[in-house]
Amino acid sequence: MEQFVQQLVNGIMAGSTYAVVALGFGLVFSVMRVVNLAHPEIFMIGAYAAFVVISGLHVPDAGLDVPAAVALFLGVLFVAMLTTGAAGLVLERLVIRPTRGTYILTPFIATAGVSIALQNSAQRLFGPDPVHVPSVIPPNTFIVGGVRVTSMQLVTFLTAVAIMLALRYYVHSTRWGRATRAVAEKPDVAAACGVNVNLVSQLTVGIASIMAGAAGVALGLLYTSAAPFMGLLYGLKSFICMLVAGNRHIEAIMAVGLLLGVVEAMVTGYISSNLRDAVAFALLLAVLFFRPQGLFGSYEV
Amino acid sequence: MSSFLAAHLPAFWVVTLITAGLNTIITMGLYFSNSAGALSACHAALAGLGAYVAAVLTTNFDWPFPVALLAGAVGGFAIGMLLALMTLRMNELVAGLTTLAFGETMVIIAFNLDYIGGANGFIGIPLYTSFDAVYPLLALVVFAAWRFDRSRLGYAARACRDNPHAAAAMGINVPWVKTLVFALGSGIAGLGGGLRAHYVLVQNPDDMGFFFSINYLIFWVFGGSYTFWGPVFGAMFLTILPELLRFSLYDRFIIYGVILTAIVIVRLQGVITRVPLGRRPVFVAWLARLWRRPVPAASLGGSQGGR
Amino acid sequence: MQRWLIGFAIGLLTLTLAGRYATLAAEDRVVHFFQDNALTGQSGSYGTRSIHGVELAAKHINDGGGFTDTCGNKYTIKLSVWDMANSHEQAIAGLRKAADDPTVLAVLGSTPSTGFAAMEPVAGQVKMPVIATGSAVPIKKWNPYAFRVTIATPVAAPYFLKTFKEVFHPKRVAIIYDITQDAQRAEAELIRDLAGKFSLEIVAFEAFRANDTDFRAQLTTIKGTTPEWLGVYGAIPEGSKIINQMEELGLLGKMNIFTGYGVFQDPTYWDLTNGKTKGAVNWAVAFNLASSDPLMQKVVADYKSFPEEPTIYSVYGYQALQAAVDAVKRACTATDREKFRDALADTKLEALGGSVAFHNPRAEPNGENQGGRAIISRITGRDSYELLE
Repeated sequence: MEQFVQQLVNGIMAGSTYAVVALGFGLVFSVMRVVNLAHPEIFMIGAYAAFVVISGLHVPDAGLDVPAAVALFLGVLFVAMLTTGAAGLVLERLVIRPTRGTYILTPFIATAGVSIALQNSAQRLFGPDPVHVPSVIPPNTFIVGGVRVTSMQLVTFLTAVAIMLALRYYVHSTRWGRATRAVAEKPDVAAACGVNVNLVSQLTVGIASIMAGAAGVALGLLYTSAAPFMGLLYGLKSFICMLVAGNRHIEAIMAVGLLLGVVEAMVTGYISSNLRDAVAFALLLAVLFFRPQGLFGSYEV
Repeated sequence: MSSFLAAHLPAFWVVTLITAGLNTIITMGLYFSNSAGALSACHAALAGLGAYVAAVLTTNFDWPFPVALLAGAVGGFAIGMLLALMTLRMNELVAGLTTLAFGETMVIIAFNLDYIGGANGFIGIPLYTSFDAVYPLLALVVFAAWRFDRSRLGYAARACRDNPHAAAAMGINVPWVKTLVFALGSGIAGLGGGLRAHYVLVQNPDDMGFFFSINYLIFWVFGGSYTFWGPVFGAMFLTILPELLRFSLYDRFIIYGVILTAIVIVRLQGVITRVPLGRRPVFVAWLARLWRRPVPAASLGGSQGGR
Repeated sequence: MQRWLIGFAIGLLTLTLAGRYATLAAEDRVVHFFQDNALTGQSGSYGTRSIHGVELAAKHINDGGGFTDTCGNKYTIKLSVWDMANSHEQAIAGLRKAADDPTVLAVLGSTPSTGFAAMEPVAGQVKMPVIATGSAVPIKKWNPYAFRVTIATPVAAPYFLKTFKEVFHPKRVAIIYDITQDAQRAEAELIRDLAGKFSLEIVAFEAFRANDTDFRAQLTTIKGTTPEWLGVYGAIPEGSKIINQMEELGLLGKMNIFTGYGVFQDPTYWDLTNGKTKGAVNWAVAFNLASSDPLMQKVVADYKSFPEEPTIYSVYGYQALQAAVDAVKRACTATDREKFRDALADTKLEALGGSVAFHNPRAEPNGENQGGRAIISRITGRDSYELLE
């Protein structure tokens, strides 16, 4: 029983790592029908930004007390989010704006080119080895009834929840959020009603990139490393989460991310670690077979 | 032909041209598969399936090369048909995801099958592919694409892509057309994969993954998705480009990514675009204009081709 | 008349001097080695180290004025680098390019198996000697032109298990391995297959894939089987995460870790796990970065000119060049590949940190390094290990 709960917790925590990247990815896709393949690389930029700041400040590994750690964490978060937000805005202006609205694959391959360039630039700048990101949050482990969770895992989970809530607030409760929803549902009608679609596009990609920066900091600290190709895995998983969740609700992406994590953990624990991805994919396919509009519904049927 | 080229071209260019030819064959398969509106994110896996089938037959069972290649193509065809049947009723994006998941599942199965080597890959494949094998087959595939475009099946496929309901109303059997066309493309991909396996002489499950499927998608869209010359140009150009960039040892792929993105932005419809069917593609029309004798203005109809 | 005489004298002097330098140049040969390895892409960290190892070896020799062969000719070394970017086709393209170039004597590389698995048969077809610097993929059928300095698992793992058993007396062992990497998987499976012979019980055998980041599910399963030792078989990014997550799950206190290929001796591992690899055990090619061998110390000092730290792949690169130079010395040629291959095929050399021995007759080709000696070491610090016997 304890093992079951531990695997469940493992799954939820792993799932939140997928969700944290998938949320921004899904936002851009549902609003603009653009698959931003450079999103995992912007996430990687966030992780490297954290590395640069933390190692630049010569922070000793886990040597800070809680208030200083929290302050440093927030500071690193701020810098990383600024960096990735800027990168996202540049990406939007140069690459996404000219290519969106045409065939769905055109921005896909344009951002694919950007992602190749970014991965190799990171390799050139920081070297091909993963770099060590000193952990900022004191690495406490909480043991509840034999089930172990670390503080950084909880921080990652909370980051995912925070991103989800922030996006939800933005989309539902702000003026620009309403405009965004309008563009997501029917871009032509929104434009006809006077919504500045270009501005919405910039805001969306900018916000998604800021979230990617937060995700990069969280995962860079969770795994205490940043590597040029760290975005590859998350790209694939986020893509899947996004398509299975449907684009009606932003919370759906988080839910599917957690579900994917739990499914993987359960398959690894109880069936076989060899076939983990095969079974996870098969289950997702089954979901899509019975609910082709995505688990939580989407705008187009 | 092989020896003529071998005598006149540096060997490394022969390798690059063969690689470009192989990529083109597989991308042509993608062109066929996607011509009825599907979006295949697993063509590298289909090519890999054809590769494994052909390689096992020649290496372990000593089948003659052409027959093994054909068997690989048939394998690709069969799995492609299966996949098409699975995704028949799904909407476009979900079908795309299904192909992605299918491809990844095939990769995992390949990693777990020790008969074909697992992670070590299948090695010891005899070298049967050469320039003489690849380019005639490529010419055949391109010819087939040209005939396909002008055939009833081709028109039916494009109708299914543009408006499935109208196509059904016109009496086209949409499910059958979609399935057949997808399976044809998968068969061609299997053929390309078999050729590749007998050139590179090693076949890994990794080569079937999402990353390589994205590469073929890039070749196809970059070149132009509406005409069969698109994939030819896209695959050739994007395979040869990294080799041209070798002067920059470390930054090769940064430059490649930038060039790729820039060209896509400048040519949104793909590099080779097409005027509506019935007229020659822009690129060919431009070339023809170079050789045409000047014609009196009065007889110039609308037949000069588009922009 | 006088001007004419002076002009003639100057002309004569110039010709004599030119003649002297010309004959000097004829005695000084240049031997060209071509490196076909991964500079970019996911294997970039291994390929770059191998390339730098070769470059450092060449620099040491060239700085000493080159080397002399057994027939009295002097040589300097020229290197060229080809990036295969983790692609089979680019590896073959490089090899064919090298074969086409008559100044190239041998190809050094590649390190990733994507390269060497494809290059090995082609080496035989184009008759170009290739010395691989790190691939451990099992080769079904060798040809006389392919060699590698890597110590392969079939040689090292049984030796490792024997010493492991004698020193630690383990009973319950678990293994977590990367199913997508040939070398890691081959060793994991070999250990599983040999476990019975050494009366070890494999209580868990968990798989993961390259690029995975979360291993807690597998580790939780392993935790449930309570092994004494855990074999961690994966590349640095995954392995370091596994060890970090072991600590988070409370496993580091309960079990010890082992691996192969000298991976734990890489300082990057120490950095990424914050020293948790202390006390871990691995087999390695007999090299020790902290050894008192003067050549090793010189290499470690001179390697500081490169942006990364040296690891086993740097050593493989260095050894490959040493073996190639040794063969040139015996073959007395900078351009005849057949003579070079025959000399290389009978190598017995004490190279950096270990020995390189090839026995690769044309009748029964086998390009493995027969001289490699595996050592078992336990990690005691970022750059230090103790040998176990």
